[in-house]
Amino acid sequence: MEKKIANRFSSEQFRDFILNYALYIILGAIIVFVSVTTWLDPTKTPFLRVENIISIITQASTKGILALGCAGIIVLAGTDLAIGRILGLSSVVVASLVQAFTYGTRYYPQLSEMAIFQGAGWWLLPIIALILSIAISVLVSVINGFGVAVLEMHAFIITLGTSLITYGVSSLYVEGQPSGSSMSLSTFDQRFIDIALFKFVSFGPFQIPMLVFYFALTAFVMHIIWTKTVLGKNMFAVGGNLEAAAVSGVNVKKTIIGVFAMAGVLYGIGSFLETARIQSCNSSTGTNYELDAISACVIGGVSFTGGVGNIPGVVVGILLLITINFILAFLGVNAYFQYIIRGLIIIIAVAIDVRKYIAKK
Amino acid sequence: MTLSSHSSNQLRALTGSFKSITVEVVINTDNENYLLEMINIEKSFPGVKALDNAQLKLRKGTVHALMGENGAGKSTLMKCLFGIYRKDSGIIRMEGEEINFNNPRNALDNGVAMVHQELNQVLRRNVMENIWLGRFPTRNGLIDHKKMYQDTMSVFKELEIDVNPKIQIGKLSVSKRQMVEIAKTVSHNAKILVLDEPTSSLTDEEVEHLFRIIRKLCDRGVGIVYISHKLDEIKKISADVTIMRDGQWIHTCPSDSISIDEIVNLMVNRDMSHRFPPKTNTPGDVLMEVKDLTGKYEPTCKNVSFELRQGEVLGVAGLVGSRRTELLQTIFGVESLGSGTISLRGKLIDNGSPKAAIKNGFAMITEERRATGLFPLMNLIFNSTLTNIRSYLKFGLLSNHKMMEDTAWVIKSMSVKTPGQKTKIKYLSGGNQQKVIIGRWLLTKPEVLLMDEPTRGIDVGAKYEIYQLILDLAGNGKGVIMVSSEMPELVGICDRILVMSNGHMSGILEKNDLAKPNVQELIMHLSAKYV
Amino acid sequence: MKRILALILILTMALALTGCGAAATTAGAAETQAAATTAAAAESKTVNIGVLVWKFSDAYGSTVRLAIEKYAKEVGDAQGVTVNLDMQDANDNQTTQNDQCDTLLAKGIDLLIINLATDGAAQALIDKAAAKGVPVLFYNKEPTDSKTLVPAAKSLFIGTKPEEAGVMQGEIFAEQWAANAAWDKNGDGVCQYLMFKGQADNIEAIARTKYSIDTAVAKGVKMELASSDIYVCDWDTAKAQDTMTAAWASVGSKVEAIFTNNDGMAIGVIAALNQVSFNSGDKAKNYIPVYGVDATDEAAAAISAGKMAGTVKQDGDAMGKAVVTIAVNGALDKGWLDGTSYEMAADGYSVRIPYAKIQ
Repeated sequence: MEKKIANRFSSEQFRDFILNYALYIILGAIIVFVSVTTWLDPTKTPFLRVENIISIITQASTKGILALGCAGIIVLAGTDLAIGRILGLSSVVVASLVQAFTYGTRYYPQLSEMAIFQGAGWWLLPIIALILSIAISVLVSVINGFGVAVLEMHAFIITLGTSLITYGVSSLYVEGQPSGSSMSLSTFDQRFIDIALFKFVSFGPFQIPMLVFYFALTAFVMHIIWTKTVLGKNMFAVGGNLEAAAVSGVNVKKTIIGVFAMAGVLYGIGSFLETARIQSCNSSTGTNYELDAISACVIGGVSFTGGVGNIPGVVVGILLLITINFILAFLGVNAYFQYIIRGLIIIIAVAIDVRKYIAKK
Repeated sequence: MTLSSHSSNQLRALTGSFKSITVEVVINTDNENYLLEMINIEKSFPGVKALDNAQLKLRKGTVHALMGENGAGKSTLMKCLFGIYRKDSGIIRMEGEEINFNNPRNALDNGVAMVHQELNQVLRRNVMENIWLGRFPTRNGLIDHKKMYQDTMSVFKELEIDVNPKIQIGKLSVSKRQMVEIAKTVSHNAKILVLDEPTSSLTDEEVEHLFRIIRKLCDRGVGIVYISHKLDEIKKISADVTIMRDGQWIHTCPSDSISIDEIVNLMVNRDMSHRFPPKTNTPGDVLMEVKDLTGKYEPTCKNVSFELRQGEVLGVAGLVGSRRTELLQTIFGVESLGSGTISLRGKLIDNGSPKAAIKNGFAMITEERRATGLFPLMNLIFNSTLTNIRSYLKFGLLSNHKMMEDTAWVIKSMSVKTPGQKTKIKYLSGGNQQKVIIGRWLLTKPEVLLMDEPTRGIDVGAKYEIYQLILDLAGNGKGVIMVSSEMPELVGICDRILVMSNGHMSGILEKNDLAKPNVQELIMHLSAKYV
Repeated sequence: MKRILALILILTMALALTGCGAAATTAGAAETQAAATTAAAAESKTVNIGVLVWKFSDAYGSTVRLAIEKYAKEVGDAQGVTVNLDMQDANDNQTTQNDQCDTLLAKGIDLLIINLATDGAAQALIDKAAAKGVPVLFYNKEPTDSKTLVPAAKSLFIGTKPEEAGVMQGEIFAEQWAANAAWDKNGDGVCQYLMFKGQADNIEAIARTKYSIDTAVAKGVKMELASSDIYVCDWDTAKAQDTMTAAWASVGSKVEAIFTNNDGMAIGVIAALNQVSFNSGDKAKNYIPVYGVDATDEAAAAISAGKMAGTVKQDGDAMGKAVVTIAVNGALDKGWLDGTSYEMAADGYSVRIPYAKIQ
């Protein structure tokens, strides 16, 4: 009889294990499959190479920073549909400030004539840009937080609303350029691009750009915030059981707004770096970025039911997501199939997530 | 196979009872007489045997009262009937044929309906849509509103219900909504109807109207299972009574062959001597004084005044809906204070929010452990330390070391049985979860502990440990206010008992009252004072 | 208290909105309004023209839109009328555009200029306008089945030849390929190329994709797609960059030329190449020619910096001028092209604004 119980327990553990890691297993299998098939086929370039891994991590870095911000909001059982548009607005503002002085159709032609920005003084511009980027992102995000915490709106609605507003503002801003057209803001000073893309470590042919370093640093700081600060603990309390958190003396409103503000800071940093990475911004920059950020969180085990998740999971989530995107392009998969595959991944991720926490009768 | 601790407790309860009850099991071989038979129903949850040999036999066209204390297994039995829970064993027969419903919908389709205490209605839609929801009459693929209206009116006419079918249901009084719900079961041609505490929020007049409707239903041959705490009602409306206690069937007899006193005795009869630890605490000086406490938003408590002494366990008794929970929540700042004052050691304090209350030395263990106490997906460390989180800051960051130290203290001093600190709390038993929550609050070093149903859903053995904990706390000079629906538990461990009735305080039983043999009846009478 | 707050909020928003609307009209037709004041004194005729724009924030579209506004006064003065423009942004949503059409017609306009959100939606708009007797003029996006549809509606289409951008891209490439023998890295006499398409179902994207390669082949260059399929990147810089990075990892060593449907994607491709130390400005080493369309300022800058091989200019200013000139003729019930230097194309229903090569 005792043996029976032990068996049942282990089968339950097995089920839990499969549920917890099903998505990783599936995605891992895809990666292994692609690696092996491209390695065995002499006509194809092998997929599993150090350069590719570095490329993937680099691509994952900016979106990863966004995902780290959005993960906190999902832990609160909320969501953020405004990420893409926040990035759009912040990045056009950043772009307008860091265009090369030699470029003819600059947003602010007068900057090159100001004495303060000459020589080493130029560095003030990216600093101002970073501060503005963070300020804009935090402002929009705090409005979202206010809507959720104080006006008690569903995060879906308030972020949908602010995303539209932000899009309008960024479109107006782009059209504010001297030509009056909606032309992309581009041709940045190389020093600005190097902030993000300078290869700070190179061993042999393998070079790692600064972006990766920023991402690692941000992830580390967020990990500390999530596990080692009062805000982090309160965030899990509010997301896990709002009423219990309130009874336990957690200031629910302050926590929600705090988490949104924290997300805003990360969006600001992410927007700044993404601007340097893509090197050309217009009002449609950032479209659908929220989908990648949210998908990464869900793949990484941050549950939509709230109160569950961790930073390493989010990092793994964005890396897996970008790896899949990379593989799809690497294999030259038909564009329509790419949409289908990405959609399936999100559905499977959420379906597994729901099974995990579903009440057992 | 040895007896489980539970059944040996049961044995002790029976042998040591003051008044032994002659249990007569009459096996009726003629099934045709009964509309519904539930025989030897058993149901276990992990660690708790919720139903053990439960029985119910309902005759056609009669009202059958189902009696028992909270936790006696009445609602579990009904949930087994409706397929919300799957029974472990036993037989359910309807008109002689065995039935096993998968869900309430399935039961309804077969003529078995229930009107819950908390009405499940779509408040923003109108009366007739609520009645015909899920089976709207249609014509040519469109909803036939005219037929829906006429069918609703004919049911209402038959039951003498005066409600406009087109009015939004949320705008009706609770009694009207309840009647609509009953009308809905009639429209389903229900043969068996379960009413759960139907009169708990009705006025006398409304109760009379309800009874008229019930009698009409009986005339149509409907059998009604009537769950209620109101003893005089039972005598008035029911033909038979079944009494349950601790998940077991105790007694069934015609209503007019049993007195109210006998019913009460059968409901609460237990061996009191071994269920509670010896009282070791002695009340001292006045710790907290509450004056004219009234909540801001209805429904709430009204004009409640009392004192709590150091080292005292003050019980709060009352029926469901007597606003006991609201009293605690108002003291703790979960609900807004309307008027009145709270003072601690003679000094007025302001518990404007739970945070302020915690600062003032209050702690609250909530009634709905799952809904408002636990963080089920988090581990023991999180669940133990959250309330006191700021005290673990070291250089601006939380110290794992300190948090684990305190968690270890909680596990040890509350004797929590757990595989480790990092176990998710949802994997612990109810009793152990409750101990962690109490431990969480003790870490804040409170002076006043508010406990709302601290032993609900907890096994008998674990209850004893919780009682011991409560008495130890009082012994250490803390003031404890404990709300409970289990009268023996209140009588067993409280120093005084405050009785709430419909939002008002209807009286306080002092120590000498608690020693009286009829103390439970006293509580019952006070509970009904303002109903 | 809350209610009052809400009320104040709504009031502020309403005020802000009307303010915005007013500001937009002022900004949108600053010159026409200035014209209106002078013209009002002369009591000249006013022509009301509605303009349905598919997406305000589209880079090329915005240059056309600005040109329409810019030349409205000039054209009006020449014709002795005041031109009043009412522009609407459908933001790439056909349903929105249909609603905007209804609104404009209800307001009363003399002519409707349409830049379709969806190529296939022309008939519905034509019918709406015909019901009110308002002539319509299409530009930029050519309606599906335009050959029969546009003449039947007594309308006119002003556009470019979709194939022309592709043809010019192919011509620029073929010339440069012949002049730079070193570009054929593997010396097999065949050009292994990559193609970045804007949108799968867009007429312009389809034509650019097809004719760039067809023209190169016609000019005698053997072309071979280096990847297993062409890439579709929604005209988007960031997406093109990410795709290029992956493509580089997979087939990068083979690639000898890269074609993109617009400069936005070309810039993304170049950013990705920069990451692997390609196309950093020195054409002599680590260089792969990249071609775009639109001749945006950023592309022009990239070309002059030696990072990009060429682009094709779609002359938004000329397009805008043609649209407003022809529109005013239509609004005054004159022949579409009366008194202008524009010529009807061979198809008999359109005016084609030529592209220009930039390299």
